[in-house]
Amino acid sequence: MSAGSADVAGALLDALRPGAAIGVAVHDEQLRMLLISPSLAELSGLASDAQLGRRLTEALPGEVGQVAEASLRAVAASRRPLLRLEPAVEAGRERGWLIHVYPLEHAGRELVAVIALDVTESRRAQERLQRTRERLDTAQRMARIGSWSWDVAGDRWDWSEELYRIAGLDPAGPPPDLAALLQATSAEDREAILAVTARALRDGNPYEIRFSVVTPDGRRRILRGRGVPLRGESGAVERVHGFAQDVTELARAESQQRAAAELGRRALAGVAFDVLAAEAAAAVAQELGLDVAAAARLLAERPRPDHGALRGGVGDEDAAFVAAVANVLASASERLRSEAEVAAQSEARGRLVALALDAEDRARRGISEALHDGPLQDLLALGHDVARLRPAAEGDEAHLERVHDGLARAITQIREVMLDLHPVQLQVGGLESALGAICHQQAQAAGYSCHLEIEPAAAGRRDELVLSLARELLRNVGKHAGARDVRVRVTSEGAAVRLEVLDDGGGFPADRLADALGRGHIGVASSRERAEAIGGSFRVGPRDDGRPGTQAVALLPG
Amino acid sequence: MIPRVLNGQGTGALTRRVFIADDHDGYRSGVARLVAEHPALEVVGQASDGEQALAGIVACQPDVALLDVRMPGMNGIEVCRRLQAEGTAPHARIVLITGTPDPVLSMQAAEAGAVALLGKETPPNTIAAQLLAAAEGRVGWSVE
Repeated sequence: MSAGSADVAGALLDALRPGAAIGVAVHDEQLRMLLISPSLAELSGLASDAQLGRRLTEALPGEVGQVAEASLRAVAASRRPLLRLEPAVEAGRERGWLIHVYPLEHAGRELVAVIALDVTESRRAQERLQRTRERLDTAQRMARIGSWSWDVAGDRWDWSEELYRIAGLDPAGPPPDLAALLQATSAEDREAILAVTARALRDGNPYEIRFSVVTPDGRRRILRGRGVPLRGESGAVERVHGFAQDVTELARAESQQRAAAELGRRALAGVAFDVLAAEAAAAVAQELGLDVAAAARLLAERPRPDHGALRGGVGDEDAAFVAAVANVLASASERLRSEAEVAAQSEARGRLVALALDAEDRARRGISEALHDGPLQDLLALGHDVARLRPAAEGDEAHLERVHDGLARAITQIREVMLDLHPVQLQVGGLESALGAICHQQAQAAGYSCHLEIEPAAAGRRDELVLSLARELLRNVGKHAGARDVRVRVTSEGAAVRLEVLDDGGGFPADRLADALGRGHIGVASSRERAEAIGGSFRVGPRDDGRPGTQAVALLPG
Repeated sequence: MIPRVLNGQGTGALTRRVFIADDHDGYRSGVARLVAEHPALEVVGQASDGEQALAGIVACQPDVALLDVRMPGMNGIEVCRRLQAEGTAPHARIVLITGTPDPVLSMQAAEAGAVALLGKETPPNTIAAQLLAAAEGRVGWSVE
């Protein structure tokens, strides 16, 4: 070494100050320190000058010094270099040194040189990386997301642990290549995966795809994958990073929701159970990727299918869902059928009641007209004949008067019977005339005053029924209400005719209708039947205006 | 069956010509008899339904027609309306008669152009008097 280079070497040694990441030292044949940089001297806590001429066992206390010196001795003896990693604790903080010990020949002497590199930061970075990896793994496991990276040119794949788990593979094994992955997917998905992969390699654009795979243990998983191609310097796609998420549960829930919603809609539309069950089987099978026949068998076992008996191709959860669907469908179907039966019976009953009452109306009308055209006219004509006899009935006037009175009474009675049966006035005088006659008759019989209002537009539409209901209601007022004032209104309400009978009597206790029905009084009940039979309504109860009395309202579609 | 229209001949200038329509033979013939026996009235025609009545009144041009309200085919009020609307018997006054009188019917009769509505139990003399009064244009509204 020249004097100049010795100066430069000394300056370099000085530059390696405490805290520097590189340290050097040279030891003589007795392994005593010939020179040492301040950065390395710092390890023993002594100044570099104080360490010159000392052995490592003297500078470094205890085992550390002995181990270090053993390394020097080994190199001195073998004259072969040695590389080792030395952990150290320095001023309370962990440090790591990569120590290179090698033989140094100088001026005929056999020296040993040490070059040490501080790798503490590098080790920390590695630890941080490891922790980050672990966190990523945890996150991936929780989200059921696996990541992958594909080196296109070398066709090398790197999979995250979670991706192995999702695919049902052993993380210790090698990741499958594209061909193996494709083999696990269904035929239609296979084509789609190939297509998006080819496009991504060509265009370099990110892509997303949903596909299903069958894991080695036979489970079918639905995956959502995303790939992000990375171009190299040549511009070609050299690598693709991506992730795959297991969305089986989500997809299943969505499918079940869709299937259930559709089936619910169909069930509400009154589709027969067998048709529904077949549709449900097909829909569920398609959505969940099940065996259609198994799903159909399951659904056919109503009302409580034993899904435990049908494991083939159907998972427990799917079977439970199909069973639930079957039960819901069966209940809905049963209920619809019951409702339809009740509705049909009710309609038939209503129709029969209406028919019976209409027939009764016709009979009443026939009798009334026969009374009018026959006996009534006869009696009226007889009245004239009696009148003609009067001048000639000398001494027999009293007898003739009795005949006349008897005729008059008979005429009155026939008229009343006719009004009860059917007012013949309806044919000529219309609703106002006929209803007026009924009001007058009932009011006179019961001793109340009756006011009648008829809106012209309401007449001529449901006259027969209005008359019949009004007669029944007015008769009830006379029997039960003790009313002084009664109002009858016939108005039109859209296409319907509204009949209202309002009285100021003792009111209509809510339980009286039930009580009356229980005792076989069917007047009000039959009024309701008749109104409802034609799609109308009938109610009787307290007055809307809050005054004492009763209000009966019939709404009769036109 | 009665003839479709029975024409009668007038017996003097003061005799009023009466047409009678009623589907009840007994009542109609009774009224016809009392009209025939009245010195100032004569029966010029009879009918037993609405159609016959309308044709008979147009053919006979009576001074007064007594029409039953309720008749087969066309009722008395309708016959009255048709005569008014068509103006085919401008001098004939119409008196309606019914077995079931009521105020609403009276109003409808008046609206149709009849001069009176009588109940059928009205005594024969009163009916004859009403017909004469109607024929002479002296009648007001009467409902019995």
